[in-house]
Amino acid sequence: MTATTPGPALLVAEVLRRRAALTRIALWSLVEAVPSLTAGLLVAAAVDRYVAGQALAGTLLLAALLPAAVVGVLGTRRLFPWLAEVVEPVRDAFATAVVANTLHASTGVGRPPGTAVVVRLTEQVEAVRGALFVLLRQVRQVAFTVVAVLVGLALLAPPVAVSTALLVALAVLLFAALLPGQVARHRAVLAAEEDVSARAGETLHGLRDVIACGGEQRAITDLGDAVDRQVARERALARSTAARGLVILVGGQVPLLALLVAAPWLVRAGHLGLGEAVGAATYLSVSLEPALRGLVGVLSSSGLTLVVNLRRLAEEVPAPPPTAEGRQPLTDRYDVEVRDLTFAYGPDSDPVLRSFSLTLPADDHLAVVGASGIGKSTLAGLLAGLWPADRGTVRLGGVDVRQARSDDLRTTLALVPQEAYVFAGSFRDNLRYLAPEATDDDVRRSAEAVGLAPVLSRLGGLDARVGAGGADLSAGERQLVALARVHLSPARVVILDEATAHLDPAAEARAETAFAARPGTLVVIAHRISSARRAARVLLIDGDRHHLGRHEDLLRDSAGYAELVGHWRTTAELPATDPGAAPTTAGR
Amino acid sequence: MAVTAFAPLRRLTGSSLARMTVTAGPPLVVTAAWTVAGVAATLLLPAAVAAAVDRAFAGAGPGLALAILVALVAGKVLAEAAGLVSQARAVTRVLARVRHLFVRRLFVLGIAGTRRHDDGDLLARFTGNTAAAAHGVPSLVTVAVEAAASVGGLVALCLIDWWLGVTFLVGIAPAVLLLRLMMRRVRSRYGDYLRHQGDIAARFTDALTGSRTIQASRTQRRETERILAPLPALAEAGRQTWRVQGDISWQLDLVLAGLRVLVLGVGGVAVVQGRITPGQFLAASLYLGFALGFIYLSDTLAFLAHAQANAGRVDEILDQAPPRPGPSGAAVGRLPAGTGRLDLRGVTVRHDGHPVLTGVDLSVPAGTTLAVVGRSGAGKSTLALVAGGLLRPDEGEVRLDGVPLDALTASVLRREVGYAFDRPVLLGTTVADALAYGRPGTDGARVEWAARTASALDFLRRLPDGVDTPLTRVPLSGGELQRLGLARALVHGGRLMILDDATSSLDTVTEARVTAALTTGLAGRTRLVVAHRVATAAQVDAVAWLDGGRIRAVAPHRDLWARHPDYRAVFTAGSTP
Repeated sequence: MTATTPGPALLVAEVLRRRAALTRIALWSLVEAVPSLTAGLLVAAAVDRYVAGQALAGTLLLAALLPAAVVGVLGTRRLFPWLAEVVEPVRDAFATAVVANTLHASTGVGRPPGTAVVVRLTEQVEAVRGALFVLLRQVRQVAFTVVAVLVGLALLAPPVAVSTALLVALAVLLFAALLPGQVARHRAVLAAEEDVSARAGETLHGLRDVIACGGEQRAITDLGDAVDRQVARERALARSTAARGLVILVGGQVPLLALLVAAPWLVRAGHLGLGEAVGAATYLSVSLEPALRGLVGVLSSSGLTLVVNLRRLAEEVPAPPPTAEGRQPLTDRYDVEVRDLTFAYGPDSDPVLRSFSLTLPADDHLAVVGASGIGKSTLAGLLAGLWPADRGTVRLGGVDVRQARSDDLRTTLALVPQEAYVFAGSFRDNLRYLAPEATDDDVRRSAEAVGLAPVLSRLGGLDARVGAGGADLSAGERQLVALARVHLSPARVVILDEATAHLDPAAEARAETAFAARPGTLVVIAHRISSARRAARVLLIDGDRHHLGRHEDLLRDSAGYAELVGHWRTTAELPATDPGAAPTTAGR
Repeated sequence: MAVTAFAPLRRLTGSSLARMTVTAGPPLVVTAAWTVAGVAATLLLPAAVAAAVDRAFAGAGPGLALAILVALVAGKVLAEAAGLVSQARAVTRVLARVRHLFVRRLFVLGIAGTRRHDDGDLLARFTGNTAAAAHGVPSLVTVAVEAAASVGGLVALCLIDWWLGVTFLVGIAPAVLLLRLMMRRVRSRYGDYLRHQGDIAARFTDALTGSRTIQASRTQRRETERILAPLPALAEAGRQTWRVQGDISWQLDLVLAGLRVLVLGVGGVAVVQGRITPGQFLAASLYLGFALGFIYLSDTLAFLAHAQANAGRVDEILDQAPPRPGPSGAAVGRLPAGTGRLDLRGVTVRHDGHPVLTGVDLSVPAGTTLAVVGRSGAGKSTLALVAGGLLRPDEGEVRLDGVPLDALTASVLRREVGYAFDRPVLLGTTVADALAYGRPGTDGARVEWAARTASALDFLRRLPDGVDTPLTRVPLSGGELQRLGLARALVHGGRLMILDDATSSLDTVTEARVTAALTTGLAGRTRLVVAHRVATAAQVDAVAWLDGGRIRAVAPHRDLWARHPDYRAVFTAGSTP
């Protein structure tokens, strides 16, 4: 997948790649312009015949408009499929770039983009497609119409053709001068509308919190201000849009006025006949003015839409960093060596890990414990090579994980995060995600091992469909799917990052035991202290200090660890408290 | 573009859109005036052109005809520009009014009134529906003016030569019939297109939710292929939609060309017979264009029907009756001194007709802590909402230090009751702003104290700009979010603090630390704590055991634990955090 930014450059490149289609479009456009070209000429000739009293000849000439229209229609019919041949591949290219880049780039530490982002990206790609089509359809048609009109005028009345060409050129320049301001105002309106939407979404989502905080007035004011800003910008856009009336005046209406002002003089000098005058006026008022009006309208709607959406796509979906894929092959070894690892979320923030080192021999079973927010998940991500450390390295079988080949990493190392990934498809597809070659028996064995089997039989076996987002599964069941998937995979280093948080203690024990019995190294970021009891070694992260050892040793040597375990033990049993002023149920 | 449909027009009278139109006020009247002026100028133009052409060939100077022509062109340009600006004024006026009303309505409806709607649905009504409805308002004017212009074009044809009018009317009937026949054959494939598009979007959303798994598994490339699998089908459906558009376009062109030749042919004969001048012939060909304008009228009508549907969805919210209104005129501006004795008397809450809480009686002495315990769906969160006045009970009443919550003004009630939730939503600009939300003027020291008490200070310090980091740039785990929610409640203060499962995502160590800090930090205040964990229940003064919306027992945890196997079962079965 090449790293392409879905922006203006991609659009230009994709459109230009369709040379064959573009040539066909140009040729059929010529055919489509035949009615525009012939209209004035035929009307002029017909009027001359009518004035000369030749009703039949005049009518025959007028009737020739029909075959001309048929020719034009033929052009239109042949034209549309070629337009689609340009527009649809452009949409494909944009959709591909958006999806590929987003998947590669969302390695970020924060939350992944959600549904709203997908909806917005889809709308933006769709807007590019629609606007491009309209532009290809209309702007091209207008351009050919204008040329046809000028050619027709030149044949009828050359001086009128010259003045008209000059005025149209002036109008185009005028429009080009107005356009940048229009684009800026249009962007401002869209940004303001998105601000309204974002704030409203926040307020609705947090309505309970707003009321509980007594923040109603603040919320109403914040949102109301955003609404008013949007309104002000929409009015500013309308004012600048109104200026485009000048463009139509100069290019569409003044040429007709010029013709009529000059007509008496032209007639007297013998440059213009009656039929020619009527024909020229027909060109100017029936073809040129509406064409120009359409051009201005389309450019300031579809044209702006295209420009604005291209820019936004380019901003929101950047090309992924080129270093995303490593090249070094992995060996058969799978010992893990962490050296001097330092990581902070920002340049000014306290490091989450500072000069951290750790050696995991092959087939180790390590539990990582510590308070929430202390950096356990960060460590899991660093072990898996998800993001770069500020300093230090993680080596897997002697190879830096950030440099390792993706295909090798996929079969050697697996991370199960707290938020399980389940996609629309069959259970079989979901479970064989990391082991495409696995047989149904293998799949069932792994499902049985981690405790997914009852869920499978309840929902109808491996062929049962999972809805988008695992909609029909509970959070715990989704975690079981993710666990069974990794259990089935060939990975020799497995990291469970609170991957059992939604399971009850018994189910968690079963899943973890299944992983411990599986060949390979197991790292468990513990959600409950019971995970530590099952592990061969325990890593306690306590602020800047780390303690590593067997459960029993840590219990003896580390006061912090003893407190952790002791706390868990007392709360699981019956603690003694003084009831004090015990509340009572009224009336009992 | 079906050439039918005056039916929507009937439905518009007295509709939501009509009501919205009234709020547009003067700008809409001005818009109408400019539009009428513009159309009048447009309709007069061809006559003026005809006169000018005829004068030129009669050997006369340009004279008055040309002056009129210039005036008409200038008037038309001016009217169009002014119409555009005033139309935007009318639209935005309606939009702003409706949105302001909508926001205020949300808070009138409150939690009880809005929870029957999905958040996304309400957002769509607030943004998309209000905009579509407001932009439909000027179309009411446009429809009338477009229709008038079409009729005006026909009248002008008749005035030039009544044969022209007759020809137009004779020709239009079969033309319209022909168009309808052809359109019927054209079946839009747009539905297919949308379906494939939705398919890709759903796959994409899935993959983003699982982005950590995908990155860890290095399956980005495969996922890209999986997401884009429907792309060829989408492209094919897309080609079909363009083909449909093309068909409509050429069919319309052909029919209009036929009609044009017919009318102009009759005009030519009239020239031969000397009934009209060549200038009038030119004018007739222009008026013909106006007369045909009605064909596009159906677009505007369809747009109006669309706007009306949108306005209706907005009105559903604006017209929704607020939940049970409170007693009027009984507002108490302040509470008597006290430390937060809480009493619930016969509290019943129903949701969609089903009882959620039934006859709950409960007293929490001032300064004590009561845990609310029960299985999922027992009504714990509803009880928490009712106890602090976020939800009004359908029956019964809640008193704080003897005063019914109903009688308190909203500001007093909110000042005296603080809330922390299982999944708090942080609002505001920065972290500090979010913690002091609804409490303008809170000083930094109080924010820092609250963050420390909630064990949130450590990770806040690790943020790029500490508490001044914008919320959008703060990656938060569930536990960190909960601690910020607690800190916000601590900043808020009040004599009653309600914690609805507010520590469920914390690990046991952190939870113990936070609980201890809260006990010290909130000493003397009353607390109501919804809890899932034994540890929490064990540390409080008493436990209210909720079962199926009713109070089963109120007693210290150790007593309940010792006497009731059912109570012990609450903590084991299906209640993993």
